[in-house]
Parts: sequence; structure tokens; C-alpha cells
Amino acid sequence: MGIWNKSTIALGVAALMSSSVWAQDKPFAGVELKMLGIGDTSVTRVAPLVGEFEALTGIKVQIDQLPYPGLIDKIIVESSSDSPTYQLLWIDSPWVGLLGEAGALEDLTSRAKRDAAEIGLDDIVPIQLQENTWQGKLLAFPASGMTWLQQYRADLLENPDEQANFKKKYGYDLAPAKTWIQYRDIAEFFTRKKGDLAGGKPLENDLYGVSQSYSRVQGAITHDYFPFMRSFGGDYWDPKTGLCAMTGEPHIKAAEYMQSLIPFNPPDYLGLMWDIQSGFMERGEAAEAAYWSVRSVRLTNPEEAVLAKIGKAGFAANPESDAGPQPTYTGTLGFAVNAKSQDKEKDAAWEFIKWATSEKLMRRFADEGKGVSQFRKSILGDAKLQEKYPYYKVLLDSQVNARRRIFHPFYQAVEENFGVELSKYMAGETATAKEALTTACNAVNTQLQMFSVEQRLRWINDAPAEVLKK
Amino acid sequence: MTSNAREKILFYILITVVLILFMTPIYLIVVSSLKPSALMFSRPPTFIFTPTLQHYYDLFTMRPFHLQILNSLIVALGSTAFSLVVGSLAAYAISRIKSRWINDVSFWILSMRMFPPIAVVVPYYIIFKSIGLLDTPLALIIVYSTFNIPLTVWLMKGFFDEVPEALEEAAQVDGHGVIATFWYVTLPLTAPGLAVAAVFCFIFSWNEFLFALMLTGSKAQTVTIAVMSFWSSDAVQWGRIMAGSFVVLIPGVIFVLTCQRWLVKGLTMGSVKG
Amino acid sequence: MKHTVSRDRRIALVFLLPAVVILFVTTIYPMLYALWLSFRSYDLSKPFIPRVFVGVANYVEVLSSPAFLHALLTTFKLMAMTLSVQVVLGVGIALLVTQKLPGMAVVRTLLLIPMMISPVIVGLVWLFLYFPELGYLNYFLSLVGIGPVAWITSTGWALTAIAIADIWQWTPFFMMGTAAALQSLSPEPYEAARIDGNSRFDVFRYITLPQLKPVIISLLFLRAIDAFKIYDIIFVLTKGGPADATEVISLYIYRQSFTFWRMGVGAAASFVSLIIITVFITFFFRSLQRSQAALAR
Repeated sequence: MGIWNKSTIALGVAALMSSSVWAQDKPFAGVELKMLGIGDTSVTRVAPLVGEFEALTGIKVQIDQLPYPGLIDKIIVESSSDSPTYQLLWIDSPWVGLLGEAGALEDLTSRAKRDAAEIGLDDIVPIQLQENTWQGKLLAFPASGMTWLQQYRADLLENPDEQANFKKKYGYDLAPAKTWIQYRDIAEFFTRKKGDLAGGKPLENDLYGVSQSYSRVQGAITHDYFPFMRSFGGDYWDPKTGLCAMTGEPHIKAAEYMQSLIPFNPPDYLGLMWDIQSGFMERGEAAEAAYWSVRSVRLTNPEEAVLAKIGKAGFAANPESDAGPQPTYTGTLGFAVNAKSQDKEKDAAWEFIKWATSEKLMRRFADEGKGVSQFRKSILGDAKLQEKYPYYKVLLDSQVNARRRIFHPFYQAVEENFGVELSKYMAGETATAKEALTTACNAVNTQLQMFSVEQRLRWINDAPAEVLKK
Repeated sequence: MTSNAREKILFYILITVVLILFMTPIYLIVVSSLKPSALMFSRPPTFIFTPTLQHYYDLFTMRPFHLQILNSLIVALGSTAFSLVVGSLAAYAISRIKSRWINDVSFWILSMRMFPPIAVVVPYYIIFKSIGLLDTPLALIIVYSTFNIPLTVWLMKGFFDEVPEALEEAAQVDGHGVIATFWYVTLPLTAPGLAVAAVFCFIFSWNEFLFALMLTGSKAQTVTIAVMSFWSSDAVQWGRIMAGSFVVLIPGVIFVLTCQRWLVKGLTMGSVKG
Repeated sequence: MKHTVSRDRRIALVFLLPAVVILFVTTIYPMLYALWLSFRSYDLSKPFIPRVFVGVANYVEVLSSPAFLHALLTTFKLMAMTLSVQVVLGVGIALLVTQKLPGMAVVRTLLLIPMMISPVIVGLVWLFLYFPELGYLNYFLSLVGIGPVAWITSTGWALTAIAIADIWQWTPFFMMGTAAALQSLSPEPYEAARIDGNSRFDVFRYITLPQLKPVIISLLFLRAIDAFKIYDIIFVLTKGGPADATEVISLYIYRQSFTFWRMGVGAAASFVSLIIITVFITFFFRSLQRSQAALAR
């Protein structure tokens, strides 16, 4: 009799109750909503089912899918308008501070508390809710969770010959990396040329020890520097001044560490944006990759990843630096309500969010095999699903001690400035990591210094989500 | 004669090289649009495979692609027609008026095309929002015309310069007014120029990205945005993008083929004068 | 016929007025708004930042910013690369496809296709060709023993890679223009030249090229205006990277106006770049036309 059973029953009852309410009077029948969305799994899985939602509630939802490049810009322009076209917005969690401070997003706290039983608030991994808060207020609801984790070629790491050779060379047992030093050793060990043996078989292509994102496109290099930086014990901001503080020892070490991985990366490392980077893993051409869990599902699906046919993917928590255990890094793709919508539309939009992120729907996606990256404990903890998706357990375990991504209103300035400077450093154009990081930080601080210390401190303060308070 | 034959062979070899260089990307669009996703990035690249129409199917089922094509057609044809009418009238005036101030007007019109579009996206958003034109094809027609009219004026002026004024004078002696002369005598002579201007206006309007992204939503979204929207946060969906690119290409090719007859003639006449 | 003032007035009223009124009405507000913005601190994404008059501070910042100057330089570098190659290639191909040989009409049509593709899609297609590690281009080059080249992933090559994509798209434009002009050249000077026994190159150099010059200049004029605004291809291929190797003016303006939401700075940069392109175009083409006139004499 675990906690899951109880909450499942509670959920069931709630679902019964609420669906009967819907069936009886459909208070929002006739409301039309528009969603500014994107073409990724968090939206494309739900998009074909909006008809079911309309049948249930009488609310008509139209989802527009836009390109990721330029989407945040469109959202800002849209939210600056007093009579919005879109009531529902797709949000990448680093945008929450920017949109939150601008007052663009409706506070969902009271609604979430009111409907806690129905939505299974306790069932949602807490950090995924925290990820969507600004100053403690819940401004978006998770639709797809992301956790930074380690993915590796299990078939190679478990191969006895490889294990024996590895031990001979490095003096310890080959296993999923616990530390970044081990991670680099493994990368070095498995960096092999076409025709070399790997796991006893000759390689058809070069095998790269590791594949990480170093591209400026989509801001990938900044996004992926941060998990390293946090894992080396660094933080974004100076807690006393609220200014960018990413010039310290951990920050430098992290950048230097990323640079030290370059020899084991594909030679075109500066072009590795997310899908290209994970493509190497999917084709079985990289031995390991630290990455967001959004594409992990592909690694186990033979239709989407060659690796599932020729080898086996393994998953483990993020390695540690010499700074000792650090919280894991998460992110969320969520749905939000435009604060400038009419009240009735806001309530109808909330109904949609509840339905689109419900355990029922999430379980249906997971069962069908192409699930979104999950954020519900009941699903991540489901033994059968864990067998099907081996990374579920890693996600569940690592979320216990996790911290959120950057959420500052000046997030875009950070992403862009660090993108340029880190890229220069990785390309060998800036001599030292310190120089690169200092330049980037100074550029951000020039903008931040216009504000009072109080305001800056408020921006870096991650108040606990009110919705989680008992 | 042998040297002539050798020359011919050399010409054909050179042309083949040019064709290969310029057509390979197009060929890749077509091949990739028919390629199963799993083979998209094989090593070495796969050229022989069982083609699939899945990406084309996805295009029309995952997006309202037929409506988006219609939107693009309305916008592109609308802006082209509007710009041709307004632009060629102005070009005629600029060509015929000999006063010095006309140069300033002419330059002012052309400068519309030089201004970086990014700076006016938000102002346009604000205007269209307030007059209720946001997410309508009309909004894009208006914006694109501010770029297309200057282009048309600039192109057509060259053509009007070439029409001998003696012809117009003869018509006017016969009792035709200025407008009738323009319509019955001058304009038909510059039809090739109109074809050139039409092609450029159409291509620009059909392909524009930034304004289309910011000024449209579900109702007036154009094909460029639809194709790009297969670039999501976690992946670039290559098969669908390539299928979309190919479909988007077709109207342009048809349009150019239709105009081709006048196109060559048109470019000869007008641009010689500049 | 006499060009009387009253006739000019009538033509102006009937023909010119619609365009002037329409352009004025549709652009005056955005232009004035942008001008107004350029003297203000205005952040669309952060309403809590005071939106105040800042005088010429935005202009001072733009003009003294190394990033802006770098972007300006990169833009002109890119323009020099693309326009020069496009002219040479375009004229060369035009000379080929205007030969009176079977099949040339089809070839001419085929070669127009690149021009008809949306620049963002051109960016995507070339991303496919340049794709890190797996790109088709490096594969083809490896077949003849060249490479691999880190096209968009090295600071040394990236700008060239962008230029190649742009050249691919716009060479057909020059080809089309010059081909049309070539077909309309009067045959007499050629016959005379042939009788005189001039070499093929001399004929091109002294007879064809001078006649093509006005066409080439007007095509360059049109392309230069658009090339200065290049944006879409880079946005898709490199987003200005790696490092800042492909940062152009439009990307600078985009980043200031949207990513950083410093719309005043973005607007100021827009006006500065409008002035620069205007001055450039005026001087460049004046001098070209002068040399043209000198040649004609």
C-alpha cells in the first residue's frame, strides 16, 4: 500500500466528480481559445486530441504551432498587447522570470490549490512546479519535464573485454561515470577510429567518446554550460549584489572542463546544437552524452534511434565534480495563461491545462510509446513503465535533489552574451575561460547595474512555490 | 567544323557542371522529402531507398497546410497586383516629369526598401492590432507592398524611359488624354517589364519570414512559417521541412514559367537603362 | 512636346500621388515610431524599466560599440564576397546559356529555381549540406579527396559558408539579367570584330562587357540594397556564430531590438545603418556611373 495507490484513488474520485460536473452543465461551452504553441512533443501529442477536449467541455481550442527560433520574441510582442490573440502560451521555463516580471502570465496558484485533488498536485514532481514559479507564484503548469542526465552506450560499458582494458589503463572499474573525471576518462577510452574494435566488433564509423552541445544556434552552448557550471558548485548570481557572478573558480573550472572534452567530441563540435548532438548518441556514434531528458525516449525506440538496434542505451544521474554532490539540473516545458485574457477565457484555459497535463493523458502517451518527458511521480515510478523506459527511474531519483534552471528577467541577455563569449573560448579565439566569462558577465551587469540592489536581489530570489505549501 | 564540334562539347560540359552545382541542393530537397526519417543522416548518405510519402502526408495532416498555401497565394498575388498598379503609375510619372524635385521623390520611395525591416515590426504590430487587421492577409499585403512598390517603381522607370515620347505625342495628337495614352499606348509596350516586377514582388511576398511570423496567427499564417514550424525546441524535423520546401517551391516555379515569355524580353528592355 | 509645368502637375497628380500617399500613410507611423524609439529607453519585455527620453545616448552607444562596428565590417565583407562572385559567375553562366544550342531554354529556367526559395529555407537546405560531420557537401568533397571542411563550425570558414549559400541563391538573378541583355545586343559590332580577326576574349572585353555594364550596375544596385539587410540565412545557419564570425548588421539590430529588448538602441542602429547604406549606395553607384559615362565617351 504505497502512497501511489492512495493518490490514484483520490485522482479517480476527483476525475469522476469533475467529469460529471463537466457533463452536466459544461460552464465554458462555446468559449474559443487559441494557443501559441510549438511543434515539440509537449504540444504535438496533445494537438490531435483537442476534439476530445471539446466534446468533454464545449471549449474549442486552436493550437498554432510556430518555429522555436523567434517564438519567445513573438510571445513578448503578443503579451505587450492589451487584447491578446492568444490565451494559452507554451513556455520554456527560463522564460518564466522574464514574462513573470512583465506581468504577462496569469497566477495559477489559487486555481491549482483549489483543484489540487483533481490535478493530483501531490503527484507532480515538486521541482517541476517550482520551475514554473516566479516570486513563489505558479505562472505555468508543467506539460513536459526535463532533467539533465547522463546517457551512455550500456552495451559497451558492460562489455567484459572493454571493462578489462579500461581497468588496465585507468586503474578502476568501468562503470557509468560517478565523477566528471571518470566521465572524461570514459570519453577518452572510447574515442576510436573507424575499423577499430568496440565491444569486440569492428566499427563502421568513427566512435566519439562524448557528444556535447557547443553551438550558438538555439543558445545551446549557454544552456548546456549551465548544468556543468552548477555541477562544479557555481551559481549565477552574487547573493549580495544580485549581479552576474559567473567568473569564479567553479565557473572557470566548468568552462575549462567543457573545453577539455573537445578532443573526444566530433570534430565539428562548434556546430553541435541539441538535435545534432543527441543524433550522435542515437546513431550509436558516441559513447556517452550528458543531456536533457526530452529526447531520451528516442534512444529506446528502434524506429527513431539506430542505437536501439545495434546496442543498448543506459541512463545514469549527472556525474559529480570535486565540489561534491550538487543538485541536479531541471527544466520544464509548460502551458501558461495570458494574464490579459478575459476572466472566463482564463478559467476555460485552466480547464484545458488541467486536461492536457492530466495523469490520464500522460499515462496514455506513455503507454502508446512516444511519451513526453514525464513530470508525474506515479508515471515515473510505475514499475512496468520503468522497464519500458529505463530512464524513468533516473529521472525520478534525481529529481529528489534538483534545482531549477536560470529564471532571471534578463535571461535572454545572459543566454546571448554567454553564447558569444563561450563560443569564442571554445573556438580558441579567447585565450582563457576567465576572460570569456568576465566579458560575458560584464555585458550582463552593464544592464543590471541600472537597477537598485533590492530589485536585483528580488530577481535572483527563488521563493518556494506557494502552491506547494501545506 | 571539328573545332566547332569540340567547342560544343566543351559548352555542354561546362553547362553540366553549372547545372550540377546549382541543382544539387534542389535535388537534395526532393530526395530528402521522400526519405524515411531513420535514413535522414546515415553515413555515407543514402541515395537508394524505398521512398515514402509520409512527410507529405504529415505536412497536410499536422498543419492546415492547404490553408496556409492559400494564405500565401492571397498575400503574394494581392501584394503583387497592388504594387504593380501603384508602382508602375508612379514610375511613369517619375520617368516623364522633368522637374528636379522628382529625383527627391524617387529617392524617398527607394529608401523605403533600404530601411531594416526589424525596426518596424513592432510598430506595424501595434497599428494592425489597433485597427483589427492583425492575423489577416491584408496586413501582410500592406507591409509587403511597402517593399514591393519601391522595387516596382525602380524597375518600371527604366522601361518607361525606353518608350519613345514621340509615340505618346502622336496618340495625344489623335485626341487621347494622358491617362488613355498611358493605358493604350505606353503600358502595353512595357508589359515585359511588368512581368519582371511581378516575379520579384511575388517571390519576395511568398518567401518573407519575419513579418509573417510576427503579424499572423492561425488564420493568416503563411507557408514559410508553416515549414519553419517543424523546427521545434528539441528537433529539426528534416523530412517534413524538405517536403514543405518542395511544395512551397512549386507555385514560384509555375509563376515564373508563366511569366517567362515576357521575362527575358523584359529584363532586356528595362534594365539596360537602369 | 514641351514639358510644361502644368503637364508635369497633371501627371504628378494622377500617377504619382497614389504611390506617394499610400507609401506615406503605410510607413509614416512605423518610421516615426522607430525614430521616436531611437531617442528613448524602451524595453517591450520589461515594462518596469522606465521608458524615458535619453537624447542621443542610443546613437552614441551604437556608434561607439565595437560589436556594431564589427557587424558593419562583417556585413561589408560578406557583401564584397557575394556580390563580386555573383557578378562574375552570373555573367559567365549567362554567356553559356545564351549560346544558340538546343536545351538552353530549359537550362535557363532550371537555373532560376534557387532564387525562388525562401531565404530561411535556403538556410535550412544549406544546413543540410553543411551539417556537422554528416553534411552532404563534405561527403561529395571526400569523394574527390578534399576535406573535411568545418563549414559552419569554424570561425575561419563560417562567413564563406554563408556567402556560398547566398551566392547559390542570387547568382541566378545576375544570370537572368545579363542573359536577357546578351540576347538583345545588336549583332553588328560582332560581325565587324570577327572580320577584324579579334580573339574571343577581346570581343568579350571590348564589345560585350561595355554593353553589359549598365545592366550589371542596375542589378548590383538592387542586390546591394538587399544584401546589406541579409538576415534569414544567417539566423538559420549560424545565428552569428561560431564566436562572432557571422554577426551582421541585421543580427545586431535583431539582438538589440528583440533578444535584449533594447528597442531604442535597435531603432538607433536601424537609422544609422539606413544612413550608411544610403551613403554607400549613392557614392558607389555615382562612381560606377561616372566610369560608365567616361567609357561611353
